[in-house]
Amino acid sequence: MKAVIFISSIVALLTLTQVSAAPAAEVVSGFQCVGINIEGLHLSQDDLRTGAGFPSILDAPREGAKIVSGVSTIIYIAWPPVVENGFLKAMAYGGKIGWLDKNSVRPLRRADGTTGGCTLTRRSNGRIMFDLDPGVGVNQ
Amino acid sequence: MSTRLRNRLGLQNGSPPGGRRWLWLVVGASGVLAARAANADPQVILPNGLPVQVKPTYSEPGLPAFSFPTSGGTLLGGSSADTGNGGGSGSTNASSGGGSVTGSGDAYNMMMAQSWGSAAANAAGAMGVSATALAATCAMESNCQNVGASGGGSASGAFQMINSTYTADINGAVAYDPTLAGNIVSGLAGQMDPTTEAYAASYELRSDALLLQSKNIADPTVLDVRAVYQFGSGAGPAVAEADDSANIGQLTGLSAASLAANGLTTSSTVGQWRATVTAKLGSATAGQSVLAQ
Repeated sequence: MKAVIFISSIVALLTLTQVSAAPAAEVVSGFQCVGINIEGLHLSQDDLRTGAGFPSILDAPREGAKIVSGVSTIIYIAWPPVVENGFLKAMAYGGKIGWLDKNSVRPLRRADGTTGGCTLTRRSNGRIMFDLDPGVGVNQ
Repeated sequence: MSTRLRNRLGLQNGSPPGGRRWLWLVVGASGVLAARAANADPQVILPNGLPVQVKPTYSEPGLPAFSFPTSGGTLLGGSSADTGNGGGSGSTNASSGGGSVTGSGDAYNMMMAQSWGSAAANAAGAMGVSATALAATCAMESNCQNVGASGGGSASGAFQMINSTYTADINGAVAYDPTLAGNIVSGLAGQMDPTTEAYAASYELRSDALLLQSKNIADPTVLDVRAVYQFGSGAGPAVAEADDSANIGQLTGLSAASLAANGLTTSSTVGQWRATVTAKLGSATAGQSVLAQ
């Protein structure tokens, strides 16, 4: 039930997310941005800097699976969200697909409490970059 | 007399057609050579190859910074193992590895104008990062001045590394190149030895670049890696991946105090931060690859 509410809140509040891309970039669809769950993971300011306590994207939706990649403060998850065994389907910055504990992320929010996401684009050099919706962040 | 010497003297087998004049020339030349052979070793001895290239440790007052060329020349014989280090601090003398120690740009010139600049460039080479990238770091952090900690923090030295990061990185540098172990200032005192700290900072740049490479940034630039160096391996990659419009505070989760410590405010954007770094370093330096090519 908790997972359903969590996913529902992300889905409902990101519906209004506008898709806009720079002319030279290709929009990457099927994924959205969420933030690392600072409060839930009890991350300190020093942890945010060093990356200590950050979760990893795994190659299977289960504890102990092989690590695909670490994450940063902004995390890409499959959109609409896909949840298996308490893990969200996610994409590493490098483009690899894996699974991330659903409790390690939370929606990006604005100061007024509304949520939003981002537009993911692939630049001409192959890099995937994100453009956050105005006002959203990981620490609201 | 060897055939080679004979040819050099213009002698030929059999009777020379020039008659007696040739005969006297041969006799005279033979006498001179015989006398020389009695007094000198005919072998030219090059002890262990040609002398190594001299690199001044201390720049002469009044002279502009000079970038010593490290390529284009050829050592004939001997060993090149000890040609890389320019010293600098007087306390370190580690040799450089395979990376390039040359660079360019204002930041590079700023670093090379310091007494330890050449040694720092060698440190970058030893860790496999470009000297320009290392120079950009000291230019951003301290204008390449070896300054102590202030404001209650532990960030110190030309590269302004905090204690924990410095300790982890200098240990990493020694693990990467064990020959450094006996040639650097040990303990936290190494933070205030620019050459020693240069090894730690170079190792950090290397680690940051490899971290970004693992995140799909194939050839991380000085600007990309700067994000990780400044904001850490936790939040830094997000800054490197963000669009210019992103708010840094919202992106990193850093508090207003932490942002202020980095010269930023809660309204600073990634684009503004990038512009500040680029203005300081120049676009050519900011866009240069960190990992030595």
